[in-house]
Parts: sequence; structure tokens; C-alpha cells
Amino acid sequence: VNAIDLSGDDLGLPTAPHIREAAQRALDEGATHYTTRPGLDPLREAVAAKLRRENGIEVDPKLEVLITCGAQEAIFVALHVLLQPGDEALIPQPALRSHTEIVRLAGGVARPVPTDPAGGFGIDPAEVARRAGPRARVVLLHSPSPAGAVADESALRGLAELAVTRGLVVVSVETLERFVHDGAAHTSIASLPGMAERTVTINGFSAAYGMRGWRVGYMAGPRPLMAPMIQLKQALSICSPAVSQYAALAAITGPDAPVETAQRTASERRARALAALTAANVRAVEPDGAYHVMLDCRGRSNAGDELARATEQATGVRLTAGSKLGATSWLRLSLTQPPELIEEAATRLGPALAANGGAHG
Amino acid sequence: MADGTSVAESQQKRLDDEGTKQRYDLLERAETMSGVIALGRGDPDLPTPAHIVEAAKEAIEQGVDEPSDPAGLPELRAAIAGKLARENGVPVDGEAGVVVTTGGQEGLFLLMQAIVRPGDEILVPDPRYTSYDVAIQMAGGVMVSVPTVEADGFDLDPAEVERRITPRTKVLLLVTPGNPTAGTITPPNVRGLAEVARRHDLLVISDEIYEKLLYDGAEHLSIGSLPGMADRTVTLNGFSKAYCMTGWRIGYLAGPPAIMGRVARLKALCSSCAPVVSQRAAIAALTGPQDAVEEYRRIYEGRRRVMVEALDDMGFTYGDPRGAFYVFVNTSSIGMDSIDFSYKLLEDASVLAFPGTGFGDQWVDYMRISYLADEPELAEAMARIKGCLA
Repeated sequence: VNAIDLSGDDLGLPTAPHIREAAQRALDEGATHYTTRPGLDPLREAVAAKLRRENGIEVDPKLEVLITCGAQEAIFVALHVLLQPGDEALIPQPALRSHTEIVRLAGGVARPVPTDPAGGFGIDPAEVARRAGPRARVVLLHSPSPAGAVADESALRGLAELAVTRGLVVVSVETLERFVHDGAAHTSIASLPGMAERTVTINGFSAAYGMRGWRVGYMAGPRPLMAPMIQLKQALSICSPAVSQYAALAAITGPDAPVETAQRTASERRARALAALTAANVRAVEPDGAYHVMLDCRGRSNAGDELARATEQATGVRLTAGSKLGATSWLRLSLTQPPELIEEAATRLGPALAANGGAHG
Repeated sequence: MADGTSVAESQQKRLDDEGTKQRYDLLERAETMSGVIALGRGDPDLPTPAHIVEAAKEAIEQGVDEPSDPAGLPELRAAIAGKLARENGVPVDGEAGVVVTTGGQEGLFLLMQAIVRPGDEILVPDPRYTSYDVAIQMAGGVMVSVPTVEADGFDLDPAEVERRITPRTKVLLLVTPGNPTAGTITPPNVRGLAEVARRHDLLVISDEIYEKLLYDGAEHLSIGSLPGMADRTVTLNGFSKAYCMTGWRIGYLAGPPAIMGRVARLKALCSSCAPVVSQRAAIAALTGPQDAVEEYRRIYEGRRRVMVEALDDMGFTYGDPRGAFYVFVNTSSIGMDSIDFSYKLLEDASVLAFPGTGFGDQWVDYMRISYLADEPELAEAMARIKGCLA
């Protein structure tokens, strides 16, 4: 049986030609030197304009926007600035394990906040409040999430109220903002009342523009939060790669077509995956966002890496162990291959994972 | 309960090391002016060699959209290990012993996170590149300065190092050729330092980013090549200085696999991987023709002559600039401290150079001047400096 790898992180779409050409042109024009420390001026201006236009966030491009080596570096910088030893970061689950690891590296204490699969893993502000100890400092929000959850506006309003009351800073990772399905909508929490002064919004170009290898992203927020982050970024990597910044500039100021292609791709694969999983009797949470589907394997004798391994052995389909997202009894199927392959994978997964028991049940 | 915002504000001080702040204040002021001859930042004015740029453009055509392994493209790691074996005599495992980083500075930051436990002491030659302070501080380390002096060309004396070793000493950081001093650690002293490291079981970080820029017959000896040192040395290098590639943000660490494995894990958390387009460019730099490296070195050599002749003419002394592209000039004769003089130079003469205090508090009577401008421009800058002294 041929192997089908659905454990990846991206749709596998290439960077659009106009973005590549802009990068090549920049190299011809000598973009081989350091840029200004927080990032190219026109790129920071374009980021600020984008945040105003699309997200309802007002920031000063000169002092409140920082271009980073991808969203990953932005998260690393934000948590290292915001957390002092013993401070708590609240992390709604499922979430990338790397977020928890960065919190620990920064000396913080990660507090996972459970969510209800029946509610599409949506965030419950009351649950966040329950988990917040006296040292709670940060909420690390990732919506749409890598488990396909989208925080709806009422949940975000509840979260905002909690953040204001408790003096929390929200680190809002919005890298998957353009991937929402079936009427779900993305809201930037920084646009809600009282939140501009306590939110760091992080985004990038990897998911929307197929630019993961370029390592370019950004963070934006109020000046008192951003000033130390700009300092740390300088100490960490001086500035972001010049050629990648020019590529990002072409992406953010250019046509929206590459993102629309990515959206259509994700949406079609999602529909066909869900239909095929239903036909194969595999229990899955219909994702409101992103391009990942969580498969429900609760009640089985195996879990985590072992479950992923056994499933791959039985079916040739490689999935991500839910334990990598803090959801140990789940598997994640990512829509990283053409729809025919995803359908075939779903069909093969049926006997192994079917709801009424299976080979490994 | 402290508010999250106030925590960030209190962090500001910790992150904002005084040396970096001084340098960037001047840089930012210079950016608002026109006609400035910039002899401040260590950003080579020369372009990345054309064949490297072409290779990057070709790579973009082929696709650099997918990330690499956090430690870097296997082909690049193998090329780095090959280079270290061939040119430096440093044996490293091309798979498990190399991590490609987003510039040398990130490499040092990740390495400190990987090896330093709170309270560990790190020996650092003084004067120093102060951006490294933040890396040490964030890792909970304690920096212990080891003095170097102008008269010795800022060479590092093993006895001075040994004198400062305590039970908490864990790491010896070497930078040769040095920034800001442009001095080198001479081979006999490198051997002496290796002995000290072995005797006291120290880990050595050897920053060799300026290794290709040597003058007047100065020699570079990689400490990782000496007997018994491979297991206790991490070599830090990159492409910014040798190939004029600062904007690409690409460098590497090479050393014992046990340490490099931890670094690779941290690299994944910090920034996933180095930019793939830059990794492709780096492969071209290492595997392609090396003529440009020597050609550029000769260009610097000519500029260096212009600068030291002008400094001699003005009666300045300086540490023998055996490497890099700086001169660390003794300005004690000018009747004002070098911070004031830097601002005066910028405002009255439109020349940007950094005060010695940008590289350690007590270097108030020194300035770092880089020769990153062509010879006529450098001559003009030196004439302007002379005018400022009158």
C-alpha cells in the first residue's frame, strides 16, 4: 500500500510567482544588507494598513510593528518578554506543544485550558477564568487553531472582559485567520474594547501565502509592550532577512489571489475529507477553521504516539498524534494532500478507527 | 498582582543593554541625516558576490517555500562540516554536530540557552560586543570580564583568564579576530587558552566570524582543532562578514552532538529553521569559487592603510588592527569623552562612528571606527575627523 502523509503543517502550495519575482528583483537591486532593525519601513507601513483595514487594529508602524523571522520568532519573543519566572500562561487546548515548551523555556508555567470537542474545541472564558491562578499573566490564543477551532466573537468578548479584570495580556496568534469555513468568522481580539492596550497580535505569511521556508512574520501591539520586544528581537537576530522581507512586501501589497487559492483549496479538501470520513464511519470534529481535522479516538486502548504508529502500520496513513497538541486520545488529519489522496486515506482509516470499534479498539 | 503590561516594562531595562542602546541611538540619529559617512555598524558596504546572488535567484525559481529541518538543509550542514575540516582542522559530525542559525547572533543566543544554568559564569574578553550580554543574561548566566589591552593588540592572555576562574566558571567565550578591537588571539595564546580550558573543564565558544579578514601576516588558529578540544568547543561562524551577507541572516554553530541536539530543539522553538533562500545562498558561498573572499580582503587591506595612516598623522594610537574591519582608536588625547565626540562627529562632520562605551562602560577613551566605505570616502571621513579636532 502506498503511504499517504497527512501529518504536515501546510497545504503544500508554492509561493506565488509575483512574490518570487519581487524577491529576485530585490536581490538584483542589492537587498543583501541588514535592514532597519524592526523591519523595512514600507513593510511595517503595509502591515499597519492591513491591520487597520482587515482587523480593526490601529498601530503606529514606526513604534508598534516588528517584523520577525516568522510567527514562531514572534511568539518566542513575546513570551520571553511577558513572562517572569513563575508567571502563568493560559493556553486553550488543543494547542501546539511548542507553545507550552516556549512558556517553560521563558521560565513560565503553562496552564492548559480544556475545551469541549462537542463545541468544536471552542474557548470557554469561564474555564479560562477557573484555571487562572494568582500569577496568571498571559493568555496564548491561537484562533483559528491548529485543531480547527475558531473562537467566536462572544467567547472573545468574555475573554476580553477577563483579561481587563485580571490584568492579563493576550498573545493572539492569527496565522490561520484566512481559513474559516461555513459561516464562521475571524475576529481579532485586539479590536475589542479595552484590548488594544493589552494584546500582541502575531501573524505571518507562511500559511496564507505558502511562504513557510522564507521565515517572515510580524507582531504588533501597544508601544509599552512592543518596545522591549523590539529590543529582544534585536539581541536575538538583529533584523529579519532582507530578501524575505521584500517577498513579504510583495505578498501583503499584491493581489489577494494566492490567499483565495489557498482558501478554495482548504475548503474543497475539507468538504471532501468530511464526506469521506463520514462514509468510512470515522468520528471527526467538523473544523470551523484552518485545514486540519481532529479524529476522535477516545475509548480506545491506545493513545498518543502509539495510536499514531499503530494507525500508520495498519493503514499506511501518517497522521499527527493528538498528544502533540495536548489531545492524547485524538489523531489529527491535515489537509496537506490532493483531495483524492485524502479520500483514499479516509477510506483506509475506516476499518482501523471506525466509531463502532476497530482493529485496535 | 503585577499587570502583564508592567511586567513588559520592567523587562525593558534588562533587555536594553547600555552598549547596544548607545550604538542604536547614534544609528537612528544618522538615519535622519543626509551625507553621512557611516563608519558605525559592522555591515559591509560591498555586495554579496554575484554568483551567490545568482544561486539564490535560481533557488527561488526552484522553490524555497518549504521549511528545512530545524538544524538546516543536510547539504548545507555537510558543506559546513567539510569547510571546518578542510580549512580549520575542526572535526565535526556533518549531521548531528552542526546547526544552521538565522545569523551568528541567534546562534550565540540559542547556545547560551542550551548550556548555561542560572549562576554559571561565562568568561568574556573585554571590550566586547555587548549584544552578547543579553544572550548571557536571558540564560541566567553571569558575565565575567577578562581585560585586554591596547599595547598587546588586545590579545587574550591565558593567565588573565585563569586568574578569574571560580568553581562556577562554565564557559570561555573567544572572539577572534575581535569586535570591536580588531585584535586577534595569537596562536601561542590560543594554545595556552586550550590548556586552561582542559585544566578547568571549561566549554569554549569560539566566535570566528571574522576569520577571513586578517592582515600583515596575522594567523588564525581554531581552538577546536587542538588536541582534546573538539569535545569541549562550539565553533560559531557565519556568512555575513566573509561573503558580505549580513542581510541574509545566516550563520552556524558546530560542536559536540550532545550540545548541538539541544540547540537544534531550541532553534525549532525560536524560529523553526533558517530562511531557506539564505541556506541555498550559503551552500553556493561554501561550494563555489572563493576568489571574492580574498578580493574583498585586499579591498579592506587598502582601506585599512588609508585609515591607519590618517590616524598616525593625527597622532592617535590604537590596538594593532590585525583582523576584521575596525580600528579601536585611543581618543584619550582629544579632551572630551568618546560619547560626546561621537555626537560631535555626527553633528558637525556627518561621520558616524561608535564610542568605545558601546562595547563596555569603561572604554570611554576609545572609539570603534569601521572602514566600510571606499578609500576616497574614508579619506574624506578622516579629513573631517581631523577638522573636528581643530
